[in-house]
Amino acid sequence: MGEPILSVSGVYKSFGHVQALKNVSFTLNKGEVLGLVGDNGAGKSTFIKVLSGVHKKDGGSINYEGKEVDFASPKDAIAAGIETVYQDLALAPDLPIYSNMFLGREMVRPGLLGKLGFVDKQAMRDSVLTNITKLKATLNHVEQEVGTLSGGQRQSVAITRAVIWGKKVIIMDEPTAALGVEESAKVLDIVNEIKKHGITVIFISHTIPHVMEVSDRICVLRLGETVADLKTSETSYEEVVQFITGSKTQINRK
Amino acid sequence: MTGKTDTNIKQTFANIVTDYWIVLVFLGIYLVFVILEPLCLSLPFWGSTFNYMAEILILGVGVMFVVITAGIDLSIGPVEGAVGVAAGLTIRSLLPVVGNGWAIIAGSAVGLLLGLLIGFLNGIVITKLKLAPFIATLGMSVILTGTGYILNNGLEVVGLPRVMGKIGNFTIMGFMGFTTIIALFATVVFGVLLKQTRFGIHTYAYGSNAESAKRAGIDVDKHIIRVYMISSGMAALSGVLLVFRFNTGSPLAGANVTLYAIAACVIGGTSVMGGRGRMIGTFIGALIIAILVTGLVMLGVQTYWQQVSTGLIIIFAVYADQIRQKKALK
Amino acid sequence: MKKKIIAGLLVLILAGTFSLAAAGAGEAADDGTKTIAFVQGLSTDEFYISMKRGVQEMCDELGYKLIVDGPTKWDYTMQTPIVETMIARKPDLMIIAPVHSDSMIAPLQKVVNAGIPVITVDTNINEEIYLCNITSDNLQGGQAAADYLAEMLGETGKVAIMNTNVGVTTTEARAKGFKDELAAKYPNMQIVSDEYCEDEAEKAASIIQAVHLKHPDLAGVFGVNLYASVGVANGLDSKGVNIPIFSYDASPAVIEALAEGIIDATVVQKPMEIGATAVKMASYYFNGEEDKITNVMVENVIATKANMDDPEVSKWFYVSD
Ligand SMILES: Nc1ncnc2c1ncn2[C@@H]1O[C@H](COP(=O)(O)OP(=O)(O)OP(=O)(O)O)[C@@H](O)[C@H]1O
Ligand SMILES: [Mg+2]
Repeated sequence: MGEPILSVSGVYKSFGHVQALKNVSFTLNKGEVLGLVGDNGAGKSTFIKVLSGVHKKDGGSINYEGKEVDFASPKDAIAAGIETVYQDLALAPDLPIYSNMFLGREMVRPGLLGKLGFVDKQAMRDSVLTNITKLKATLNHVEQEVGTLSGGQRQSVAITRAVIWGKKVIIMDEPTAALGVEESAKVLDIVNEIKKHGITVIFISHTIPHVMEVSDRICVLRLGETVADLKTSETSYEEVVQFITGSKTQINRK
Repeated sequence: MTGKTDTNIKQTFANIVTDYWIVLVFLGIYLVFVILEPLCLSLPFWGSTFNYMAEILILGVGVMFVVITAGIDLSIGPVEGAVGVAAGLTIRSLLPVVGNGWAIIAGSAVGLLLGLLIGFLNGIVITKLKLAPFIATLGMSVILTGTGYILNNGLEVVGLPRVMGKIGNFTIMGFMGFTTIIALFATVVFGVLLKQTRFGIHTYAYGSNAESAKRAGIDVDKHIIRVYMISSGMAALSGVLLVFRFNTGSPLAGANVTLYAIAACVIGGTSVMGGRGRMIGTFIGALIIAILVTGLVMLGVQTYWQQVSTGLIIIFAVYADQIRQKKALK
Repeated sequence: MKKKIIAGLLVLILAGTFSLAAAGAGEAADDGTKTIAFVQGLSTDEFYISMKRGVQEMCDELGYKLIVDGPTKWDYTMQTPIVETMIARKPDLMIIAPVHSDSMIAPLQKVVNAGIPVITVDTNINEEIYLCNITSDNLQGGQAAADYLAEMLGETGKVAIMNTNVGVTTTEARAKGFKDELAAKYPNMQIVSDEYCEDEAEKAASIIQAVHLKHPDLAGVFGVNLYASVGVANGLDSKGVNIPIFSYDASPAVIEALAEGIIDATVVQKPMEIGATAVKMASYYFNGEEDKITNVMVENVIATKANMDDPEVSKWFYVSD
């Protein structure tokens, strides 16, 4: 089904003596949702940071859209159409919501002022307002400083930002961690929505039922290694948990 | 309905008080001076206050960018001194060759470029060698103090064309000096840069959370280098203006002013933790520091009380800012 | 990593300092030529540069070897290590301008204990472990400024002092001499302001403008050094006020200001004569003529635009190398 957009094989990465990633491998088709699961410290966040250009991998290969890539900085990954909701959200608490959403790619005014870097605040506010409404995010005031938002609201800001900008791949590292039941359901709706637009999603969560609900495939990491690469339709909650805890091991069943 | 408007007004008023309380502090200080000495109302009093404020403000405007990124630039005062000496020497040695006009232009350009170069080096050391800004700029300030001495054996550069003094001491409306005009102009320009441009937003973003700025795809190293170039460049501007004003390049210029400039930012609400600060605040901060000198002189009080009161206001300002932030987080 | 770089830098700096010190070790001549060590108060100040010239000329005349050093800041924590290095270089006598009357006693006691006699110049120390002191007192300089200003103003009127930093002994002494003299001799003169400008001319300019606003009948100002007086002149000039402004010392910058009428008079000390006299005293010591060794107070002169071209005055102007 579909053409592969991302194919990862044998990626490893160490921080000094800590080998965070030993062997991460999986393939993901365009428009699919991958659920990336694993226990605390399994290496999920480290892997997606490699993918989004925050960390450089020590070895292995990442093939993206048919080309071997090795992003030197987040800027490169962003330019390649990969957006990330980081586990720590990566927001600037002193800036208002709308500035955070446009950080690094502010809208500029038309003409000479724009060339000089003058930003068009009104246009950014309007755009953010539209998107908030569209995604039904519970953010009331685009001028509000992110530092004064609730944890869940901050998560909404980060998610909305990724959704606005994500052209090809959107990575979400535990996007529902701080959210209540209703809000979590909204996020799952959003994932389904972006999938409809043909965007590929990597969804990390400890809430396995959520993962089962939205994903097409599930990749289980354990101690920095891919221990299972499963089709969601062919597995079960119990099996996934067994892989996570290590009570079941398996070489990829495709 | 009226009740609602009332609370709105109250709310707005409360916002103004928390946002602009430093203006009230300034007005309070000024009011006391005026009551005790009505001459403080006069234009000449404002003239001398502005003239002293100008140097602190020019340095403050530049270093504020650094402080907003949660950094610090301890080298701005020594930059002033070294640039003054370098500009003075350039002018003096070119005088016989190219004449007054070109020598002055070349000397000023050399001074400003030297400032930008120093800022660039500060930025490189901070971003590439990854030294803490405090250490990097402390090192630079010691190097520059030494360089200021080496360039001319620690002596003032004299024998500069008198026309420089004419320009440097030019006043409009009988009270606003050349340096003051440039300081106010710079405040507006850099205020706009900070508030209205991508560069400004990225400056706040970096100070607020450097890692986030980087992950948003901002080239943070380049940005930080530019920020230190602004700080150092403004210090160089001030150094060149001092040469104009006093017809002398002095290695001692700026020996005390670094901390006053940083104090102006802090009093004006710029957070040393980064991410916040307003240009208007820095302006008021510099004005408070200056008026404490001229006002206390008018009252016949020794100016070292100015140092004591400035210190108290710094502590007060930072404390008030903390309270405000705690409230905001609630 | 960070720590390593910092540590590396520190090691480099220390190594540099030590090698410099080592290079100078044991320089004293062993062919019987006497070596004099001269420690300046501030190596970058024309006053001490001129004093060094006086010392050098007299040493050349009398056939002594001279070694010179001095701190780049008026600070006893910087002068003390220089004194200690000098001990290691084993001179036959040390001439020093101590930067502090009390703090420099202990380091100089070490010099004396090492068998090196000490002559103090300019500032003195509060313990008689020196052979003699040659000075042109700052106190007396301040008095001279007061007398001359009083004469210019007809012994009446309001005057202001522009000082530099609190607690700097030399400039405080100048201001004190000025104040005491006015209080003692001129009842119709009044000091209306006594402020500190932190060696920043621009601050002095704003301060004096405020003083003048408060006292429009201000008749004269004494600035205790270059920055104070030039700043005062700038501040008053930009308000179109023209009253006598006095400065102190005769460095090229002050003399330029005097020639251009920015300031009106300056107290000129005679550092070259002080230096030469100190070496004279050293020669008495070397020759065993100890009865001739005595304290000397060298008179100051006042330079004005009118007399500054007189060689008897201009020969005392300071040199910068
Ligand atoms: N910058 C770093 N320096 C050193 N060690 C790191 C760093 N980042 C991650 N690690 C280590 O790498 C391992 C994997 O961490 P990672 O954050 O990728 O786990 P995770 O699967 O995201 O866990 P969680 O579910 O708790 O978020 C951990 O042992 C962690 O301590
Ligand atoms: Mg994680």
